[in-house]
Amino acid sequence: MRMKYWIYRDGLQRGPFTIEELADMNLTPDTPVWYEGLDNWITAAESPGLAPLLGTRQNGGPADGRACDVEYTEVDCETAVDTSSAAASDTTASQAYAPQSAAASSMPQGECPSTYLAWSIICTICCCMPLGIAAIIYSGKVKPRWQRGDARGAAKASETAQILIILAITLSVFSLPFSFLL
Amino acid sequence: MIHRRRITALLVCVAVAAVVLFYGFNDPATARVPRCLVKQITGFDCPGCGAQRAIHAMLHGDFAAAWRFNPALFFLVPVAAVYAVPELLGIRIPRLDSILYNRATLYIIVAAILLWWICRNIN
Repeated sequence: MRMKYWIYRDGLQRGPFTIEELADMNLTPDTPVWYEGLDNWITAAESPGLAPLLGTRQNGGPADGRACDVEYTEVDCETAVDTSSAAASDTTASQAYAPQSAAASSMPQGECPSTYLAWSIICTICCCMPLGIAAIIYSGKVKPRWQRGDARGAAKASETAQILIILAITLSVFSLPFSFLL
Repeated sequence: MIHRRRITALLVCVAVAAVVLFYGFNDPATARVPRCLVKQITGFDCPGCGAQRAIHAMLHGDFAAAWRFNPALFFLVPVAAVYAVPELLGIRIPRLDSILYNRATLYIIVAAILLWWICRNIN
């Protein structure tokens, strides 16, 4: 199996990525990285496998990274992640991300369940608006829950979205004869 | 993944069939076509009402008429496509995903749809 990497950026754990995907992500030497076999998060600079990716951008210092963290927490983070990244801004990188290692080892493996977001939007326009809107809401919960390490919550939201979409389609199909009769 | 490929193939078939039907069918304004459930029950236009007439007009190159039937389609179809295409092809673009699956982005989409729904029923 290919090696999968997780990184911590913009106040969120992100991954799994392949090394090719990481190559496009402008890693800085102090970006926290975790992959299977590690007990703790390490920085990208400490990871022997990632050394070739770091050559291109050396000037993105720690100050740079932190400004980025704070900016993004307002937008896409839940309280749990919020507090950990707030803590991250006033301690050094290696200490700050150490508490995350517990979450990392229980980090969901495999693929994130499908969000069905495109389906939800299509259902909202074409099938049944109220159910479609509900489906969009549940679709939107899948990715954040997954990134927080909540695999069960993500699977549940994904399932709910799927059921709502199927309901919407079924409802509109069953209503077809009525539109011809009336 | 075979499963995903099958679904993609099925969807492409449905999409092609839909395009042919919408193009070939008589003007949905007069022909017997499926009508919106929300509209039938409540009498209010839903955010998607007029989409069939708009797609028909669009396929015949009459974008002005399409805009009159349902302007939201010009916004929602590209949005749906941006979400659907990477998902169906099984491509993951982390940077794009972090924008698309952002909570704020979703709320903006939902708010826009609801706002459009209210506005079109006020007049």
